[in-house]
Amino acid sequence: MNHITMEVFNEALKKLVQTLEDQEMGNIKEASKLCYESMKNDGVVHIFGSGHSVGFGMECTGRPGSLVPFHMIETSDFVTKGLYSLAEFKDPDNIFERRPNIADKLYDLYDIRPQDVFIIISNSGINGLVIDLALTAKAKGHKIIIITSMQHTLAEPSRHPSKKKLYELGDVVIDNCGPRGDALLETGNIEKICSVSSITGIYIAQSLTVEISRMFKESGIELPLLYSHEVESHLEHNQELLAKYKGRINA
Amino acid sequence: MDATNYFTKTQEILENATNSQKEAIIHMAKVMGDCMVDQGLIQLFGIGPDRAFAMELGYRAGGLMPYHQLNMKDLVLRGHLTLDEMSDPAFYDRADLAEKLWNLYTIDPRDMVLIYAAEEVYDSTLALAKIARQKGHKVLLVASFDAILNSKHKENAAKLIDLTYATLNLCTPYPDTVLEIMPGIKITQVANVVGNCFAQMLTAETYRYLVENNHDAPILLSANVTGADVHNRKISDVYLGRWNA
Repeated sequence: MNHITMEVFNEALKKLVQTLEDQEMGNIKEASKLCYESMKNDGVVHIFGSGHSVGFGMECTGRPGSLVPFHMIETSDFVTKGLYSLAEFKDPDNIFERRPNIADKLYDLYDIRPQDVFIIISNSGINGLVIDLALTAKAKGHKIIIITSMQHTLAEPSRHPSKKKLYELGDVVIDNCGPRGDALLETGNIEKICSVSSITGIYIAQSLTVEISRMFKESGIELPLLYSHEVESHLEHNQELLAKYKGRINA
Repeated sequence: MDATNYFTKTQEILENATNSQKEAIIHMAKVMGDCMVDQGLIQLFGIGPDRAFAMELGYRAGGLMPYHQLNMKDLVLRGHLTLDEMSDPAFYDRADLAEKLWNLYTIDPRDMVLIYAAEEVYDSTLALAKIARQKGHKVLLVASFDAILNSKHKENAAKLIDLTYATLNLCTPYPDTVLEIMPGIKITQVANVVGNCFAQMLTAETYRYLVENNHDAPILLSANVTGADVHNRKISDVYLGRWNA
């Protein structure tokens, strides 16, 4: 039985985050360029991750210091917008996210324009829903950024009828550098413990915001940024920006 | 400025937070471990973006099983509210929603409630904590204390802290933005990095506490690893009816 402590986790995580920074910064900058090109042409970047990967979209949207033209797609939209019942959607084994041939319905729920870009996040990159949404977006001509664990995705068979995996559909692929199964520490039994994809996902999400913001600043174009609500003079800026993208983002 | 600055700044904040909260993490892990030994579930609650912490602990690959999320969106998914009602800017301050949410689930007397608040303690959050205490449950809090005690809802924050059995402070700045892109304008948040790392540190320390005291420590496998479903169902079926699949 291995000795598991917070210090053991912290040391392992520190190494992993350093690997992410050393190995993936080039891909993060390439992905940022795709987002910047879309946003400067009034495009929106649609973010989709099922299961825990929805956290990536939550990290990008709706807070002071965030870019406004990000839109989070949630699988629960299938229910809240009346396409599927709760009974079909909620299941203990995450069967719903494995389903192919439904993502086109999700795509049709939103106001998606030709210049828009997609970020699709899946640690495993093998499930039907994410692969189908990537196929749909690709067929419609959108650029696609994939965030996945290459170690995990290369170790598991695809669950999509095409046998494709998510990373094969990306214009840019960012490896979150996490292990197969997401958990980092060996316990000595079959289960590993302490997952990391949500943490590395936040580093990637925030890095995209930094790089996109830097590109806007360097090009002299006004940054579509949500300012702090606590300064009176910022409120008008925020309202105008949110009105500009109304119906295309979550606000 | 580039993205490497975010990595550097975040690491600095995370190390400071971890050093400052080490004993508090170990203590909270023991409290949660004792709840699990008693077959209790830890009911996780966070509002809006603060759901991140609940998602990091609840039904998570490489995480412990005995957690359950109290999710405001379930009120919409189960037909108690419309999506328009949830989109109302005042939604989070509807204290009446706390009781509706509580009544959606089967909450056992052995359960405890863990609240995460990186920015604000809304009226509904405080109301939920009050219900939990009235019914005899322990309330735990993980929060950015600088944020909640300086925010618009600071009176709620002070009242919530008074109701808690144990707390963790994220030690993140208020406002939660760390890099200056223009004079007076900052971008990028850090609270959820610290929050998610604290969630994993709690997992590690709760696991250690359970194992060192010769108790089972039921760990979930990634549902995207072949054969995981059977293992996960076996350890989750213990809480059947109490767990919101």
